[in-house]
Amino acid sequence: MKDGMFIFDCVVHTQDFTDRQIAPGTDGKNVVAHRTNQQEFNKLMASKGGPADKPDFYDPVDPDWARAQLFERSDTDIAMVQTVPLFGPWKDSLGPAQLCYDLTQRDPERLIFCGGVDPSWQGLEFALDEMERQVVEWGARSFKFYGYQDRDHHWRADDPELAYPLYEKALELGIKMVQFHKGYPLGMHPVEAFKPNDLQMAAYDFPDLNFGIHHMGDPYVDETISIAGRFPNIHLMLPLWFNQYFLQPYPMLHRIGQALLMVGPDRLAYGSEGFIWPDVQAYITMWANLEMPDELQDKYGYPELTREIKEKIFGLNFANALGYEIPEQYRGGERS
Amino acid sequence: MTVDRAALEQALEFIRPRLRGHAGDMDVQVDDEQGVVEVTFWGACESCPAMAVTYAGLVSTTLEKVPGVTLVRAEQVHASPRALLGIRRRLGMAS
Repeated sequence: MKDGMFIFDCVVHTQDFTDRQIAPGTDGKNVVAHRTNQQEFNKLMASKGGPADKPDFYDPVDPDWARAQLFERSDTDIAMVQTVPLFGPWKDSLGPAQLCYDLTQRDPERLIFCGGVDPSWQGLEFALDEMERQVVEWGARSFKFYGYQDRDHHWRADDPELAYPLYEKALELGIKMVQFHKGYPLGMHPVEAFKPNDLQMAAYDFPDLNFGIHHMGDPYVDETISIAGRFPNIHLMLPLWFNQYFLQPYPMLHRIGQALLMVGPDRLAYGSEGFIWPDVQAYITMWANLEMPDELQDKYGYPELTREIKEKIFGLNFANALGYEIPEQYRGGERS
Repeated sequence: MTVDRAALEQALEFIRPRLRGHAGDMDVQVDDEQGVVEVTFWGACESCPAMAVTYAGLVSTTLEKVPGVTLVRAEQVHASPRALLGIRRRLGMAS
C-alpha cells in the first residue's frame, strides 16, 4: 500500500522476446524488430530520468525475482499477470499463457492470472474451449485479446460471429471484464487494425461485461477517450501513460487530464507493464506525488489530482471492474 | 427554508428545451431540508464533451437562483470547481 492506498497493478508480463520464439516458416523479422525497438525505447526512457531498463528484458522473468520486485521492493499489493495472445510471428505467442500461469503460482493470492486466446488464429471452437480451461484449471479472472495476428488472421471486436461468442463465454464463466490491446502494434502490423472504434457496439451489445482498453489506444488517444466517455462499461488501462510520463510529462498530463475530464475518475486503472522497466516503485511514487499544474487546470479545465482520484486509479477501479473483492488487509485506505 | 417547487419547475422549463434541442435531457433530485439539488444528465448530455459548459453556463446558474436552493451538484461533471468558475467567468457570469 502507498500511504494507505491499495495498489492493484493491472498488468505485468512475463514474455519471451528471444529468437526461440520465431515461428517455424516465418522470417523472424517481426520478432527481431520488436525486440530491437523495445530495447532502444527502454534506453531512451532511462536516459530521460525514467526507470532503469532491464538489459535482459527479452528473457522470461524469474518468478522469485518478479515476486520480490512487486511485493518487497515496491508498494504493490496485487498484480494481474497478463498473457499477450499475439501468435502470428511468435511461436508460442508473445506472452505465453503457460509462462504467465507459472508466474502466478509463485504467489497465487497476489498474482492474478489473465488468460488469452485468439479466435482468428486458434479457431473459434478451440478458443472457447481454451477460455474454459484457463478459467477452470488456471483461475483466469479476465481475458486479454489482440486483434491482428498477420495479414490472413485478424478480427474485429464487434464481429457477431467471431467476437461475440467470446463475450458470451466470458459471461458464462463468471468473467466481468475482458481487455484489448489497442493502438501501438507489437510488431510490423498496420496501426489502423488497432483503432478502438470496434469496441463501441461490442460494449453496447454486452452491457454486463466491462471492456478494458490498454495504452489509451495510442495514437488514437482522442478517439479512445471519447469512446470511453460515451460507453459506461469501457475502462482505460493506463500502462503506457505511466511508462511514457517520464519521457513526456506535459503530453501525459494532458492525456490524464483529458481522460479525467471526459471519462471521470472511476474507469481508469494504474498499470506498470512490468517488467520491461523493472523499477515498479518509480511509477507508484510518481503517481502518489503528482499534481496537475495550476496552468493546466486554468487553461484546459483539467481537475486537480486529489487523493480520492489517485486511490481510485491505484487500485479501487480495477478491482471493481473485475469484480475482485479487495482482501481485508488492503482496505485501510478505502475506509479512510 | 424549503426549495420553492414552483420556481424550480420554472427553472427546469427554462433549461430543458435547450438540452432537448441537442437530444439531451436532465433530471433533478431535491433535498428540501438542505436545499441541495442533484442534477443527472441524460441522452446526448450524458457523454457530451461540453457537459461542464452546459452545467456551469446554464444549469447550475439557473438552479442556484431558485429560492431555497443552497447548493447544486452534478456527479457526472468531472471538471474541477476551479474550471467551472473559469467557465462562468468567461461567460460573464462571475467576477
